[in-house]
Formats: sequence, structure tokens, C-alpha cells
Amino acid sequence: MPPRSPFLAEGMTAGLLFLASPLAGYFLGKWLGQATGLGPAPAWIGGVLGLAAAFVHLFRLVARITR
Amino acid sequence: MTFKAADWFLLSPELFLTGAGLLVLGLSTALGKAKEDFLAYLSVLLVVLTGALTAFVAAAPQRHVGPILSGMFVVDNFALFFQFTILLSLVLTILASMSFVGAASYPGGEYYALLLFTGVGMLFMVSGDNLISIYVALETMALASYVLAGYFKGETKSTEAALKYFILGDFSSGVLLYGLSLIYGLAGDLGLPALAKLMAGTERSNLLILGILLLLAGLLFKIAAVPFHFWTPDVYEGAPTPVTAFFSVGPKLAAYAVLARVFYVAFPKFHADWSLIVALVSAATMLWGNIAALLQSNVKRMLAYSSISHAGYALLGVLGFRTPYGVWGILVYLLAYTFMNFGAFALVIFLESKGYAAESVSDFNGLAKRNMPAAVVMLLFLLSLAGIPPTAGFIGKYYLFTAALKAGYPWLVVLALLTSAISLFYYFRIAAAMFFSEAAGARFRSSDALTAAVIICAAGTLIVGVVPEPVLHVLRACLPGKY
Repeated sequence: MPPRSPFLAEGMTAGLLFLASPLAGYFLGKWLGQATGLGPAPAWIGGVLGLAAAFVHLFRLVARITR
Repeated sequence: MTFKAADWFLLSPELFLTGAGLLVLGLSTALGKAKEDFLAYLSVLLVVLTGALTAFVAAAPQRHVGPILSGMFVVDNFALFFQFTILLSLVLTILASMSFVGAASYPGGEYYALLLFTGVGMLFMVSGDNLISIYVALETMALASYVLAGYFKGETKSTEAALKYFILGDFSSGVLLYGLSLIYGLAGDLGLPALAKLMAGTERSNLLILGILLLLAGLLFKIAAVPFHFWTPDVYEGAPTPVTAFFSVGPKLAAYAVLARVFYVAFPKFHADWSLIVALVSAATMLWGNIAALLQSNVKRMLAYSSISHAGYALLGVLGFRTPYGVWGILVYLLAYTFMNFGAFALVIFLESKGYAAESVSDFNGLAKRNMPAAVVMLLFLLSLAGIPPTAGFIGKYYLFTAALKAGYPWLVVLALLTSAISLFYYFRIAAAMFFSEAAGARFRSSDALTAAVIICAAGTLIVGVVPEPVLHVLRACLPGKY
């Protein structure tokens, strides 16, 4: 049986994170835009920040793997 | 798709450079380590010949017909400017790499071949007029870049840099491709002029805006803009220094060309949606890049954060798309940036510390006493990076700030001026170490090829700064779609 990487499970979440994180940011931003009357802009900013958060998580995961 | 004979002639620089890469790769297998210098000079010659071919194509009347290869590519003045600048960056990188490649224990011919293949991808990217051809070219550039980042196979840092760059780069490519798929699903076409026509008659839809923003996010990753910049300091620190110098310049040139062309030509209608994101990203990038650079003692990481901040300045040009100042700002700033940033990295390569290029600011201690010309040239590059006249960096920033003011972003210009002032602190830390420190610094190793690269960069920085009008006269004709 080949050895299992301890990071395999965590690595498999990366794809899902790239879907969930921007969506969460988008809907959070949309709620903020509606609550403050700022229009659709906070929704898109939230989506981009969510995507950035996914990249940061991936970066930290890769940093742990390479260490 | 229809192929005409004239199309192949107009793409001959890219095809020639591809053949050149294959030739160098084949010769490296046959000649081995002993003839590495020959392969380096051959690569320089082949890139110069590609430049001559590009000049020949520039003078050809066939390119005035518009997009070629059924709308996949366009050989306009905008593409030609970037192609010449990319070829210049390739020559500088090859010259700066010779001592590094020579020091490695394994044959280095494939290094030069990889550089040429990266150049092929970049040349195709800047002349891409269809989102799918741009994407394929981007991947060509990226794949060769990942291998270059890990070129020092025995070094853990280099391997780690390559792995980080590869994984994060692939995810960003996936995000970009998903954006393309949404745009194609809604618009039915990926050609930029066709998209512009379709967008004019299309109502704003959330899915379309999402596609545009995902495309923007993928490109922001490539230019290392905040918040997609996390890979940059680690990759720049771990990669071999000549490769870092190339990464700080070459892929950014290509990515900015794509950013400007795609958003100027295809999506100006939704300017209100994407320009807010670009403005906020520009502000965050300028702020974070400069503040983080202040905290660095490792000179490669400092210059990495500095290049992040410069990505923020260049984004001001993307905002100014409604006036020609936006494009002119991007063109002159990127030309200046090529000279000044590459020059700064080249001086880092000159200093040897523990067998590698300079690592910390203290390696620059007393450089003025040991080699005054090198210290003066480094000071020139630092002044240009800070935007002090009469250097190329000042001219570039002038046009970018004018573009941002005319686009209605005075707050961004104020922020850019403040962050430029912050940058003076960390640039002058290096200058102070060179001119005022009595402590011993790193050994200065001379190399004719590297000296030639530094002289080219210094000349470019001074010429564009002191007599900019001839350069600006040429750049004013380099708008997208202009022949």
C-alpha cells in the first residue's frame, strides 16, 4: 500500500474552497450593500476578497507541504 | 479558421523564436556544459535576430489589414512595443545569467531554451486578440516560468519557490479560465472586437460581471497585485536571482499588455463595475507593497515587495482608459520599469555572498569605496524606482498620475505620491549602506556580460528620463488597434 500524504485530505479541499470562499464573500458583501445602501459594489468586493482568501489558504497549505 | 500566407509572415518573430529555443535545446544536449557561454551568446544573437524580424514585420504593409489567423492575433503598434520590450528583457536576462548558469554543476543550455520559450509565450500573449489565444499563450509562458523558478534543483528554496509558483499559478489559471467560460457562455464569442460589439448590445448581468471579475482576478495574480501577491516574495527569494529579475519584468509586461487590451477593447461598457475593483486593488497594492518593503532586510524580498508596489502604480494607467494618457502611462512606465528594476537586480547579482547573489542590505556596505561606478549606477536605479527626476521612473509616474487625475481618481494620485515618499526610505537604506557604511560588505564579482546588461539599463533609465520626447513620440502611436 503506498504511503499516504498527511496533506492529501487538506489538499482535496482546495477546489471546494475556491467555490465556497468567493460565494461566501459575495453574499456577505451583498447583504452589506443592501444594509448600508451602497448598491452592488460591496458584493463584488466581497467576492474578490473571498477569492483572495482562498488563495491565501492555498499558499499556506503549500508552504506547510514544502516544509 | 482560415490561414493566409501573410499571416505566417506576420507571426514570423514568434515562430523564429520558437525555432531558436528548439535549436538551443538541441545544441545543449549535444555540446554539454563546456559550451554554455557559446549557447548564451547564441541565444542573445537569436533574440536580437527576432527583434530585427519584428522590425521587418513592423514596416510591412500586410499588418495593416487588422486581426490575423481568423481574429486570433493582431500585429498593431501596441503589440509591437511590448514585443520589443520583452525581447529586450530576454537579452538582459541572458546576459545576467551567464555567471549563475556557469556556477551550477549541471549543463545550463536548457536554461536558455526555457527563457526563449517563455519569451515565445509572452510574444503571443501581447498580440492576442482572442481570449482563448491569450490563455494558451499565457500557459506557454507560465509553464516555462515554473521550471525556471526551480532551476537550481539542489537548492530547497528554489524547489519550494517552483512548487509554490506552480500550484498557485495553476489555480489562478483555473480561475481565469472559469471567467472565460462564463463570458463565452453568455456572449458566444471570445474575440475582443466581437465581445466589444456584443457587450454594447448586452444588458448588465451578474454572471457576466462575475466572468469579467474572475478574468481580472487571474490577471491580477500574474502582475502580483494585492490581494493576489502572496506568492511573490517567496518565489522571488527562492528563484535564482537572474530568474527573479526576469520574473519581475517579463511576465508583468505581458500581463499588463493583456490587461490593457482586454479591458480597453472588450469591456469598456462595464467600466463602472471593474474600475472600482481596479482602483481599490491599486490602492491596496501601492500601500501594502511599500509598507512591507520597509520591514525587509533581505534585499531580494525588499525588491519583490517594491515590484508589487510598482504593479499598483501601473494599474493607474488601466483606470485611465478613456484618455490616451492611460495607455501612454502604461507604456512609458513599463519601459522605464524594465530598465530600472532589472538594473537594480543586476547590481544584486554583482555582489557575491556565500557563493550566491547578495542577500541582505548589509551586503551593499561600503560599495562606493570598493566600486564607485557600481554604487552610482545603483543609486540611479534607486532614484528612478522612487520616481525622482530626471530619471525614467519620474516620466513614467508623471503620465500615470496624469491618467488617474483625468480618469477622476485624485485620491489615488495622493496615495501614490505618499507611497512614493514611503519608498524613499527603503531605497535610501541601500544607498546609505553603499555610501556611508564603513562595515565590510559582500565581494564584488565582475562579469563582462553582466556589466553590459547594467550599462544598457543605466543608459535606458537616463535617456528616457533626460530626453523623453523621442521615446514619447514613438509611444503616442502605440494605442491598441493603431497601425
